[in-house]
Amino acid sequence: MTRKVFWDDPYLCTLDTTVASVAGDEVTLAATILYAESGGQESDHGCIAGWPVLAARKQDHGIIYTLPPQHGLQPGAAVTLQLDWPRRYRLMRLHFAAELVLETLYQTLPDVEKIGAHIAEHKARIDFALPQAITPHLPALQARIDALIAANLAITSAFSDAASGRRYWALPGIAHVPCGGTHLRHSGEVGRIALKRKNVGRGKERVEITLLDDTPT
Amino acid sequence: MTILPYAPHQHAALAQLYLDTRRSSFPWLDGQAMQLADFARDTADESLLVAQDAHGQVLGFASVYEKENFLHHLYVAPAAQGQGIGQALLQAAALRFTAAPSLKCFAANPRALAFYRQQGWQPTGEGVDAAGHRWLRLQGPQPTIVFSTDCARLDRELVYQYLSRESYWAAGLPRDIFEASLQGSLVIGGYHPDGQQLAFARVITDYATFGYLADVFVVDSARGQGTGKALMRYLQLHPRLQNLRRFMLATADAHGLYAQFGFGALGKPERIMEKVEPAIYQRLAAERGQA
Repeated sequence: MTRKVFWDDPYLCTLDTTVASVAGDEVTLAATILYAESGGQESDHGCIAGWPVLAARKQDHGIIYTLPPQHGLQPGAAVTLQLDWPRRYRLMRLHFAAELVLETLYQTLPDVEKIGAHIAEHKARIDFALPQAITPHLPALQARIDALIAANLAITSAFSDAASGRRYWALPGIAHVPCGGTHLRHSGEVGRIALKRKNVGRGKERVEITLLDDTPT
Repeated sequence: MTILPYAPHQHAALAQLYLDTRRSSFPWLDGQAMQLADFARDTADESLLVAQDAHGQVLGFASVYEKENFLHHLYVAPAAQGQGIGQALLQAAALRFTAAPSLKCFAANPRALAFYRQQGWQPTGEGVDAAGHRWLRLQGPQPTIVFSTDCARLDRELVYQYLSRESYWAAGLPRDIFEASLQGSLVIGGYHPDGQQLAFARVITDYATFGYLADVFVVDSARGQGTGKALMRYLQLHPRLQNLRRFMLATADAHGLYAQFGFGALGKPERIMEKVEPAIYQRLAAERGQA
């Protein structure tokens, strides 16, 4: 079990910890700030003791990191982790933007079904099962989301069940959503966004989200 | 514990179980708004399977909307949970699916989600109901065999070739007698999801008191994979074959299979008589050849 410090403090960019286990080029850590892809949010980029993390994957309640084969780390070794923060921050902003799109859509179109989502560094997408085009709903959707972002609401994020590692984020009174991603503190950090509809086949609609502000202030 | 198709006398007990189980399992819903009448409304047009104990007390039920391969309900009474009843109901329901099934489960019900995941179901979608409760859509495993009593689906050539040439009991079966036998029976075909026929059986019955299971076979490629057992389970759960006073069959080598489904040697052979002519098709062939 790896202590997931990215949940306690999603804004932490460096962390001192120890290597828990080593199996060839795969290592596990006592604690980590490097997120492994889950719930559609891509894995972080970063370094462990100066070695670039080539891959990260969840296994049970732990995370396994793949390092270059010549890493030479031993179990118990003290290491410093470094997070590619500009990438992570974009992932967090796009992730929360996608959450707002989803929640707003659920409240606008009853019975809409989300069938996929992916959060990458420069673009997020959500796929829905929907018989009709989503285009006519986009302006109203955008207006409601812009209002939620402009209101700069406080976002809470915590365990719903610590034993099983289940978490949620919430905008009190607006939404309470199970999710194990890393979340912003305030909705305003998302900044301005653009929504675009893509046709991905019969009965399926995709909404793509991009960030219009590089560094929100 | 046994699983059987729904029977009307179970209605009141099931309505009560549906109400009690929802109230105890869904504390985030308004239990006061739930009513006994919900059961009939929420299971209309669905195929119901009921788990009951040795005394006939209902322990749980599953309800399938067959047209969409949708598992609408799966409830086990709180006192009977954790005993494998849900799993048994799910396996019985699987015989009703013709393609990969799906269900919706409240996101706030981690116990149910863990159960379905354990049974090989995977999340494929999510949504929010009118009251704001989040649900997940889960998809179950693709069925390996699909049973049907639709005579039109039969691969008649395959069945006829098997019975008349390969079976040890109907060698030389004339085509016209084969066709007439299908006319007068409940025919059961087992099919690969791609449509290819894997198994066959027919039941000669009045659908009330008596049945006779005949011409059971599994094609070579589907043997040793539980196909015969699945066929028997399907028959056991067929709504029109319930409460038969006597269900008979003849077998030379599959006693072990049928014994698992309650069949045994004649209890009082002195009371059963038969008139049998094993070589009838050879006699007919000779007579018809002369004509």
